[in-house]
Amino acid sequence: MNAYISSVVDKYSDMVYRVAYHALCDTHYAEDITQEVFLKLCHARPVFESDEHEKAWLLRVTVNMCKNYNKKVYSHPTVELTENIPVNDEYSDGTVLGAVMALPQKYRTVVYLYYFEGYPIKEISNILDSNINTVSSLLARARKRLETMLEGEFGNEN
Amino acid sequence: MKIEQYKNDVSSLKLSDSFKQSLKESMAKEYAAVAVTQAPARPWMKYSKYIATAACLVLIVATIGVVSLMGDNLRVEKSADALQENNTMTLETYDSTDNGEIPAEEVTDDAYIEEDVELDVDGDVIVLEDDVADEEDDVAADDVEEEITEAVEPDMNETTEEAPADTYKSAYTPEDYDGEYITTDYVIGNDTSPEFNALNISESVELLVRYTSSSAYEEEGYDEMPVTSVTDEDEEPVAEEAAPADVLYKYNDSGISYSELSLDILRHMDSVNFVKLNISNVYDADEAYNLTGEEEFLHSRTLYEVNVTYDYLNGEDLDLTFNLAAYGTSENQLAGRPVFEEGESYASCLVFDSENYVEMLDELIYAVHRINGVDIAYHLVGGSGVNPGYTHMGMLDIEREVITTTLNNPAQYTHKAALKELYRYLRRNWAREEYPLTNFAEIGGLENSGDEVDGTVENDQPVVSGELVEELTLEFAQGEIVTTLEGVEFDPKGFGGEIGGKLMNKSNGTGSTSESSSLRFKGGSIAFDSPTTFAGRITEIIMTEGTTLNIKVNGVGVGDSLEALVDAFNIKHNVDGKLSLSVVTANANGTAFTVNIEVADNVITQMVIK
Repeated sequence: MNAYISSVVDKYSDMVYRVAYHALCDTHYAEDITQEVFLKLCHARPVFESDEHEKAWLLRVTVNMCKNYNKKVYSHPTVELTENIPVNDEYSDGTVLGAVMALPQKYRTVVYLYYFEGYPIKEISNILDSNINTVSSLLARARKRLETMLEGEFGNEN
Repeated sequence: MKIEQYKNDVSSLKLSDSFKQSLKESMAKEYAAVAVTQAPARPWMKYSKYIATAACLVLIVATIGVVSLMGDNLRVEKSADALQENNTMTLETYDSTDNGEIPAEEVTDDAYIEEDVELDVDGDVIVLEDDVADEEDDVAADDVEEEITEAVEPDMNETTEEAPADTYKSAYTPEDYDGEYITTDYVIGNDTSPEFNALNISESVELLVRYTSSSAYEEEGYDEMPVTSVTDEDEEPVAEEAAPADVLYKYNDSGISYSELSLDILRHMDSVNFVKLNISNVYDADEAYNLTGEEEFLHSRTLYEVNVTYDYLNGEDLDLTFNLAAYGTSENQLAGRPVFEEGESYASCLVFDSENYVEMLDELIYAVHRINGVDIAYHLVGGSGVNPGYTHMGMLDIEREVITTTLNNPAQYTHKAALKELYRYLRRNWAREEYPLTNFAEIGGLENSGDEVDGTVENDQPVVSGELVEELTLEFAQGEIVTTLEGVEFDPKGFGGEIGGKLMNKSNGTGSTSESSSLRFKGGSIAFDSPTTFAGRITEIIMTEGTTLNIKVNGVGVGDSLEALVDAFNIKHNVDGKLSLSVVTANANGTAFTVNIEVADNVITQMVIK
């Protein structure tokens, strides 16, 4: 079992962390979510048909946990909000990642899954439990915003 | 290039080795702990389970015997008990216990129409003789209902399957609340009734609502609903500006019943419907204004993109997307009805009065939450505060706990009902009134399903020249495009931007624009043939899966020969004309657009503009 734990952490922990970071814009919260996701894996002990299945399960759980976390934030005024809110059109470090992180939350996860993980729209809609058209629209709008922010094409430079 | 930069940036996001090590240790502990709690039961425990099951069976058989001896009256008592239990249960209880909610399948219409009963203050059963009871007892309408085949209800979004984890409890508890609530007398909107005042004069809301002029609302009617200034930024209540109690929700002076709603509001509509919709996007004010051209969206209304997933009256799954307009903005919300958020689900009757968007019938807007596996519809406080007639499942005052992420303008609900019961009730009553049902197959949505990636039409079907375009959305950006039309019929619901105005009255000919536009075509064929003036690109083409579109680029279209393709695009290299997929990039005046062309048997079988 230790071998499995070691393997799954080595294989997917960075991915889970990145998704959580994209969703929450905060490294500490992203670490918390990562820990929760893997503990949930221990607790739920799902049976996976394949590596892809396992990866998709982890992504989906991460996305849902981030959603729940955001709900908590917005319904509990004592939780600090400022760190979780991106700074719209201005991004601090001038990097492409900085521009992506300056997008609203709904765009960031889609951009990550599409451009970094390489998932097709349909898979992303499954992971996010969303409509294909919605994901497609989110991606198109995100790209448009990024093009404005980065003053150049994003995603079309094949 | 930027994608590669992004990937490099993201790749640098890594957890530290110490964190990973710590995580592994935590997982090992957790795994061991779970293993202990999930250890296999000992043999004697298995037997005890069977013994307990047998004992339960004996008890059930005995109970059935007793019930059969007691006669019919017991059923009335049971219904009454169930109602009483429901009436005295808080939402919190529903959320936390499995038995807290009456499942839709158990709360059948029979429970209410077998005997027309209601509860008096003490919870005793009395017999109803009023109109409400008569409405419930319509056998003919029941027959109509049974004729309608019901599809399986759609699953809710996973995030709503559980009871909302985080609820914000309204500070409101009326002074005269004594633990009893008579739902059958519950008609909201009558400002002289204690129920109305108790509902709407919620201190928590009142203190947060800032009125610039209370008298301004006294003359407001249904069509001009007051938009109160409740903003998310307003953390501090402004008590001195609170409106006098009697002007809150002054939409109608007296509450109207469901039957009045049916006669007065629904009668003028062409058709009625009751659908489930999910908020898939919230447009910002500028986007909404650009899409609709209506200034109302800059200050008092919000435009949403919604996905309609189920038609409750016809029992059919739907997958239609509409733009939906609703009163209130994030800065300027209706008290008790915060703006909707992406991911939320609602059930309502859609009204198709506008060319640019649909609306929900204000009196019938239900927030849908799945609680303990049952879809529960929470009736949002509406402009006229209509009691839709489903009085059996009114809400306790203390049940008006809100389920919302908006802190300073909590959603206020007036009723709740098992969704299944609610739409059966509406269906039965509307069938009796002989209202025609909305045919969504004819209406269609703003956008339909299809795999569109990067503005590319991913269509399994070959694009065949000359056939009608069922539905097509084009978005042009950063350049001018010349569009040649042949017998195109435009859908007036889908016009926006400059090109819409230019092309609206044309079915043939040529139109051009340099503005970003979004169009919706209902039928006809369209060709792009502008090698000299087209300096932009088509960013989005959305069409119904399986429909056909006549696309021509540089004079080459589907059905043309491979030779024509080679000539038109000056292709230098060899193209395998039998099986291969050729990707051709056409440059027109320095701006590129990509055309994916599929060739089989020396004939172009598909063209996709990217």
